[in-house]
Amino acid sequence: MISFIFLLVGIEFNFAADPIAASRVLEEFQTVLRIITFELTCMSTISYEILESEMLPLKSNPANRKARLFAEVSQFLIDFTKSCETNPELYTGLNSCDSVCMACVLDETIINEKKHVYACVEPFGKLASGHMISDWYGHFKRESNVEIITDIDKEKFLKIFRLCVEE
Amino acid sequence: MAQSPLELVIDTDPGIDDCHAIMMALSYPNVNILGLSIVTGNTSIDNGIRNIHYLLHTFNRKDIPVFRGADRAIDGLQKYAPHVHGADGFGNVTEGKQIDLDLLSDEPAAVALVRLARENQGELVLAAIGPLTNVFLAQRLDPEFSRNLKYLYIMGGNCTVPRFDTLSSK
Repeated sequence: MISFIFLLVGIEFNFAADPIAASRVLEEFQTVLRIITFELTCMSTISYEILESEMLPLKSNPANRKARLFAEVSQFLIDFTKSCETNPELYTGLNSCDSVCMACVLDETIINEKKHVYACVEPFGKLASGHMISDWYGHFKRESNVEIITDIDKEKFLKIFRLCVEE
Repeated sequence: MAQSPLELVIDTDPGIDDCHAIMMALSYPNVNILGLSIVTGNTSIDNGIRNIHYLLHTFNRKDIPVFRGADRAIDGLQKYAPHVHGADGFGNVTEGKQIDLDLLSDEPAAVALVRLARENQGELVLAAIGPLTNVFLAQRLDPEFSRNLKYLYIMGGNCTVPRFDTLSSK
């Protein structure tokens, strides 16, 4: 039987930026804690076609200040993701990580699947600080402390994301 | 009977995707945004505060207080992401602009989080879309903080899904 005993490269920015804080929050918090992981957001990118044919052009309407703000602020990130052509994880469209999280906050019904597991974050170390370890199979014998969202309704997400440019 | 509004606080490190997320929340019906707490992450705390004002001014929302949060992580380090979000965190759009910081509160972010969670016990939803520094500090100030929250949503963490997980499945 194959065993996966290696650490995958996949540390996400927010946890890596403050691994101690992330570690303590997951360990100590007693509330419903829902996690939107980087990988989920990679599966929920906005296609360049929708951006370029439907969303960005709305900036030309002088009355639509939201669309103008969206277009001017987003261009840098769009250019960045387009520059990642050789990275299949990033080059699928615009990855607006925090939008995926906010869509779940605003409309819980977009959550198709979530898993109750025990998860912790490596607080220290040169190589793996900020890495989240999700105990899918209960190896740690710990009660679940988080709900990891593993699938969302992409259509509903896109509908909420479009609010960024709708008057 | 009308559905009661979503009582929401957003803890953010105002970068480009934060901008999208907050625009969505500002545009969504029946959401009461009680405050925006700013944390260092995608950009510096000062840039983040400027960016969030630029956004709120565009929406003409003068009713949402902005709270200054941690200017570095718990370990003392500052890690920004200018290659993804621009030098100012907002795709270089706010650089050099005169931005009035009229919505900035005197109350530190972690203190505001504690207060808002107490005032809205069991109702407050906290969306943490930056590093968790402010959220952690709130819990240190008040051990009841997390219990006062209805939900804590976190954008963060890598997730290696089953079959590719990080522990041996032998």
